[in-house]
Amino acid sequence: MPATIILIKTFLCVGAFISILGLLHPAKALLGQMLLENAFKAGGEQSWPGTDLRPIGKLQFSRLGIQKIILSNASGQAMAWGPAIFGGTKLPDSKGITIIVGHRDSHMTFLKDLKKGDLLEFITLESKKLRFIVNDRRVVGKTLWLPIVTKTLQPEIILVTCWPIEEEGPTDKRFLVHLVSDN
Amino acid sequence: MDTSKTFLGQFLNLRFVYFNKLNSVQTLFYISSPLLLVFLLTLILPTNSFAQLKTKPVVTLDNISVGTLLFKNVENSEENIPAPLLYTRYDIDLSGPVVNTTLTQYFQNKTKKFLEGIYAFPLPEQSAIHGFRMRVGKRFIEGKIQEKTKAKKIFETARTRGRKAALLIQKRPNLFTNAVTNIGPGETIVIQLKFQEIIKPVNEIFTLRLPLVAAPRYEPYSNNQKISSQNNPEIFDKEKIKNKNVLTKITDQNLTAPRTLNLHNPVNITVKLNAGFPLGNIYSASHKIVVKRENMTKAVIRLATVDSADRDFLLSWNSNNFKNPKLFLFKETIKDGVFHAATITPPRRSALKSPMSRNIIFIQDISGSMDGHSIKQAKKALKFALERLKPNDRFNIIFFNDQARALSPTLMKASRHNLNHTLKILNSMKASGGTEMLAALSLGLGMAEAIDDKRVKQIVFLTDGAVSNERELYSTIQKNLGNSRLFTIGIGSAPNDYFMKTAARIGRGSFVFISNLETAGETIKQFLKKIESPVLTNLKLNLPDQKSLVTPSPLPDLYAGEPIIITFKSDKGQSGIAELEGVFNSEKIKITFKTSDAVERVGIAKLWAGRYIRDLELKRTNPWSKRFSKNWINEEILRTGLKFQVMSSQTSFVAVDKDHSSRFHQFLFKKNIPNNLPAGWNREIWFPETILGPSFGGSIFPELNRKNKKLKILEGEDNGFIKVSLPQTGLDWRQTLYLGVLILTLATVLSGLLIIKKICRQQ
Repeated sequence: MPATIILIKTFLCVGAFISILGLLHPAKALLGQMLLENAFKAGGEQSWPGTDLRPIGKLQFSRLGIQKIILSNASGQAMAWGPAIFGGTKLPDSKGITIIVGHRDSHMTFLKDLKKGDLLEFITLESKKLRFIVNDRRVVGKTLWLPIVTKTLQPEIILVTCWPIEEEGPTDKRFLVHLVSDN
Repeated sequence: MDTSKTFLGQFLNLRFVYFNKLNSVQTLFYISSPLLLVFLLTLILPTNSFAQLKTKPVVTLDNISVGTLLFKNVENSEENIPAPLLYTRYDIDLSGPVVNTTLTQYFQNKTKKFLEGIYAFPLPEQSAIHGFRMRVGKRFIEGKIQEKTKAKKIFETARTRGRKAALLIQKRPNLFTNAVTNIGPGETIVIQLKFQEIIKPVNEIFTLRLPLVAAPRYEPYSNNQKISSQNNPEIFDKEKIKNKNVLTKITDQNLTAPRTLNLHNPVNITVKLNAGFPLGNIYSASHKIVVKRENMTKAVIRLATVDSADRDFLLSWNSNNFKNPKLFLFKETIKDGVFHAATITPPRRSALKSPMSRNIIFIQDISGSMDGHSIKQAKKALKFALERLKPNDRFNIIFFNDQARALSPTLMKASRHNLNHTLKILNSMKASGGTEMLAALSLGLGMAEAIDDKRVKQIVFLTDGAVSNERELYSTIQKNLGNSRLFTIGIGSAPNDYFMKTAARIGRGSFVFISNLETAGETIKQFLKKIESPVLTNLKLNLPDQKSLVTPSPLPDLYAGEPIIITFKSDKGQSGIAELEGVFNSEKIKITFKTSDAVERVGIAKLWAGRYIRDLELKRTNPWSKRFSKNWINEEILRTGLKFQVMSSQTSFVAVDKDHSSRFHQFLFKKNIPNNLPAGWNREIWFPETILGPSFGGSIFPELNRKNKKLKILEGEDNGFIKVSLPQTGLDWRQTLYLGVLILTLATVLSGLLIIKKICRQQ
């Protein structure tokens, strides 16, 4: 029955192809963090030849043993490799708000496990440890009114990912975790 | 992406070749099933397994709305223990506006393990903690003030050695955490805290607020819990409580014997109230209370029942009418000298003569930095002020940017005609140009000086305070103030607090800050109403000891509804008669008082030190001063904190049990625990939402303020907000993976069917 065998072969190939395509994203996310870790240790070097992704810090959540290298600019390309600073916001080492965005089904899944009072650390390229505490968590729409730099008294970080975290597909909701400096 | 695609292509080509050569159904099955197995395994693993490869399972407390007490098992850092019973007792001694609070907390360990408890609690921002002790069994261990990091070290050493120890840390100006370690099985540890604060009446009503926070319910953390359900802002519930308005009319008749309740977190409160003036109503909007009046000015207030600490305690009182300002004198003698505090309470507004007519000069900043929202706020504030003028008042406005122009060469009568004309000009004002404050200030002060009538002279300065020559400004104010009073109104998103507060202090006036157009009306109204009725002006304090250090200096005026507190320090103390001179109802009066009448009260020196530290903290906000470097301020705060034994941003209280009896525990402890102690225990501290208000006293997210219409205006470019469109995140790789696996399953099932068919045929 050659027809059936051909059908099986086609199914097998197409199935494997699509599956690998799907697994590529988490693989990229894992691999990216490893490569970025090296670049981060080297003090913000270019991550690998032919890319302009630059790590600018590391977010550390020791309760769950999570470490994420943060990239400098949140483009669609960059976000596949790691969470990134949202365009226009500053680094968390001075007062004002830093927005860090990441994919809900790879790097930012852990956001759902953050609780009020949790301690996170942001490590700068100069290995300075900045302590942050989870102050608030909220589901909001896709636009947000944020106070300008002069209105906040201390460094603050907002971690952003899509909501609901467990689901896929287009959504108008975002999940925010608000961190305030604990220094 | 490109490289990976070609790699994938090669991979697939290889497969094709391999299959063609063998061309056997069994091979297909053997290849496809393990592949499928691998994919299925990936799916079975938790979806966030990639992020949590190093995850340690932690049983933690549920994300609970109220509650700040957490116990940690010192033997095993990964396990949290259900919060044990915590009993709280407040004993409050109130003299005039000075509140002395003794807070006693009983930590009880009902488990069979050594525990560490961390208790986070809010205190009023202006309070000064001056006593901290720990009771173990029948012994009291006094807490000692130490430099912050040193205190922490002492605490940690005690912890590793298995000694009982407690550490009190100021996390933020109004948030403290208290950690008690090595509480043995079945033991109770009592922590006692003494602090002092000063309360200010609002609309002539004094309100004492005691923050009470309860221990959390214990609920094991479960993954099934939908985060959305935890997102319900607890604030709404709290608002409900506030709005309930359980005003209880209190008479001596509804005295009831305290019920003993099986409350999870019981609290008891006793307030000894010595108002210093004839008491009017006493009530609590939050709890049922019992009031026992001792005489006209004194009362003792207790909770009607032992209550659960799930909401703040509020106690309000006001005065019966009385005619003259009341003076209260306290003192404390320590080795650094004798410290006095005098509080002066004004009579109620209704008991005063009609307010004195005023000469009022407004100085309005119309420089470029005020452009946009600030000028709108300023105009609104000015209009407000103009509307409130009485026909007998006289006024003028000076507008300034790089030059200063007065509306009129002299002050004008506040007639309807003049006011309408002024409002018209005001409407057409636009902000542009530089900031030459000095010229405007000199013009205003000069104009005020030239006036020679019986009216009160007031200068109201509206600005965002973007100045650079502040020293010059201060000396100009000091030199030319005369009988005038300078008030500053700070406008805009980031006004220069330091300049405006200092200018108002030198100018013997006061300062108010408007941040929000919508709430500005009420703030301004209160402020203007206050400055309309000065009760006691031109205060001068003559003390027997001429060398006394008096703060604040110069003395401010006394306004209706707002008592003032004067502190003075002298090396040898005062003996004899002191005099307070001032103008009351347009007449010079003298209040004489015997310094020997001062009530001896612990904490007055600390009150003085607290004020001094607050002044130092204020200097921090001075962006231009080089003299007050951050280091110098920190050192001076540390010095003062250590000397006067008060909590501050640089000092912590630590108490360690040094007694031999704890050796036993030490042994037990050492035997049971591995050397790696729970590091970073403080990350488990839980902060209630209400006390962590980084940007706007609550949350930065405007959605949260849905119920509060006043705050909704915060959304808007004019209010210093920017609109951000958050990007779509999510790679949606799982959908792709599911599809692939589905097709693979089909292939496997098909090949399986083929095998069965083949076997059948062979048979």
